Amino acid sequence: MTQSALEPLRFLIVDDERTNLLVLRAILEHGGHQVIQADNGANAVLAFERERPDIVLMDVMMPVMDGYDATRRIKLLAGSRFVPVIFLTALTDETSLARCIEAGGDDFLTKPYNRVILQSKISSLLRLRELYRVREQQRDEIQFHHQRLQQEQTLAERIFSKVVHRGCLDNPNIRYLVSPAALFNGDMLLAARRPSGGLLAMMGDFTGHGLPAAVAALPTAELFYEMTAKGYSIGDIVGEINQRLKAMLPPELFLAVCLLELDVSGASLAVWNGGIPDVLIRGAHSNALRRLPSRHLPLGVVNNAGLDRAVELVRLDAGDRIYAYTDGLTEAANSDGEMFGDERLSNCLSDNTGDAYTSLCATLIRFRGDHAQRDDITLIELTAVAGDNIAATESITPIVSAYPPSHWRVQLELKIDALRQADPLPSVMQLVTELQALNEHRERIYMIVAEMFNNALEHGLLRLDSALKNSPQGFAEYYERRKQALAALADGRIEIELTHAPRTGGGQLTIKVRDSGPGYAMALSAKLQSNVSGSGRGLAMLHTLCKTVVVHPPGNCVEAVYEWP
Amino acid sequence: MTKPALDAELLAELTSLLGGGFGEFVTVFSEDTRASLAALRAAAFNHDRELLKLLAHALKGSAANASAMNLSALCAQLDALAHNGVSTEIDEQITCIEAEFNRVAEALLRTM
Repeated sequence: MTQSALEPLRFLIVDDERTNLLVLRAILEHGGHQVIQADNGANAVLAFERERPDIVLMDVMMPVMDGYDATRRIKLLAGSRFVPVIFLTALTDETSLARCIEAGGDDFLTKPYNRVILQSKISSLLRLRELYRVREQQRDEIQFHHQRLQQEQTLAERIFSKVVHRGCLDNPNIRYLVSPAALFNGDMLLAARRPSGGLLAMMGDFTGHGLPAAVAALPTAELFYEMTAKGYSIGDIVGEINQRLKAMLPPELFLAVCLLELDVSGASLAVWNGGIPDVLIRGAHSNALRRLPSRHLPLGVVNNAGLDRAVELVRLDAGDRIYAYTDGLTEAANSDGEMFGDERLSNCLSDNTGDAYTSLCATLIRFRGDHAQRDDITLIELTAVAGDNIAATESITPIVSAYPPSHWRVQLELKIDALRQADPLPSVMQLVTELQALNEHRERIYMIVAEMFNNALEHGLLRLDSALKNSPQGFAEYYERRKQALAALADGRIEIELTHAPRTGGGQLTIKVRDSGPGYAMALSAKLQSNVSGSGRGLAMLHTLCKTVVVHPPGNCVEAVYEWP
Repeated sequence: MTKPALDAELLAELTSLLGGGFGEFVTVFSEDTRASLAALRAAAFNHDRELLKLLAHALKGSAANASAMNLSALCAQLDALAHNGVSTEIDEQITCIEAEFNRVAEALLRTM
């Protein structure tokens, strides 16, 4: 016969007329199907349970239990399985047909039977059954994949959180709010200690959120932590992340980012803002807000050649509070579709009746109510405090086991073009830690080398007066002059010499920095002796950290000895 | 001219469909129809029009199955009479049906 012959089915035929059963059975068996029969509704239900047929042909009027009742019971037994029931009826009035449908019937066949019509009805029900089966199968498949996806996401999120949310966000001078809209956060908030003892925080906001943003966040976070720990400047970090993201991201995905560096004294803030809303500073002694708007493009947009790495420097007073946030905060909506907005934010932060951060968070929660969050929200507050707890900061775990103490000496000579181009300190520190695993002294050594190198450059070669740095205006001016002087300097040279020698239970590192200038350090040293603060502060720090600090005449060479344990 | 007891075309189809099962069909049909006819008489005697109607209706269907279209038509008439006919008409109709059935049974046996 036709299509149905290809797929033999089990039919349950139910009729109290034996001749009907004989004819039906003959028709179906000709089609290659298997036939089970019952002579009333009650027996039909029993046969259905026992034999699990694919299709039921059901007479309406029968003794014991009629076709309507039997069909209702059979549909109940079938559950989610699709078992078509075709009513066999000589009744053609609308009420009877409606009752068939109400009972759960799928089609009718009027008596006397017509083989062709019966065949075509069976075919059409088979198609329906196939559709139903495919749908069920797809539903199960979707359910399976959905579950697996969720498991994978949860696992990935745990890995992601470990990489992206470690760091020193729990520092006492940091408060923050991280509220992702999806499982994976499209915002990033990282903070890490500098080897100099300063603090670098980074807030990032990827276009979009969820998985794509999270994937891109991983290498970004790694670069940030590595380079921050090695003492690379904000400019270098920004450059490296930009290069990586530009190569990695599709054009529509990029990272708005803001880096905030609080120096160890807590007296200056360096900011690089590319596409994050204005950084706000609330003075310790006034509730006026200073704004540091974005001055750069987000990362991953232009090549490094087009990237401006310049940072903005701001002088801070102890207790000043710095706020940065992603646009998810001001664009958070309430149930009326109204946005939180800049004004509410500014009002909270400049309100001097209480704690600005707490007031902001509380206002945001009240404003939003239980309205669903559409974008990730991130907020950070940094308080300007002196970071004089260097010794207490976590040391970087040594990657290799300590080398046996050895004697070595490294000399580095930087000519004027090298001085203009790059900050040599991260490379010097890399060298020191690779030659001798001095990890637990890394921060101190970095501070010493940095102080000596910067003195040689700024005072020895460029002849700048650091007294300028004492006023807020002078602070920015100082760095502007430094830039100009370095560009204008025709010739100059700085030599850094590091000598390591083992001692019983420890070691000794002698750092010698010599510049080609006429000598500056004798005067500074004298100021230090006469207890004048300010310009002598750096030297005072050297004296604290080192066993000896010697200035060689005419003052262009400083030699410091650092010893441990 | 009297109508044929069995419709030749339908009968041919039925025998081809049932094949070796045709004999069983004839036996079952004859037995069940005899029982139905007895039940028809009883229902008419008891003036149970509902039952009469139901039986006539069922007999109409099984007669059609057996290709006995004339018998089927007579049952359809009885179905209608059960609705609004008088008892004598109903009794007469049942007599006609009984006679027709005998003709059909004979014709079926001849076919075998």
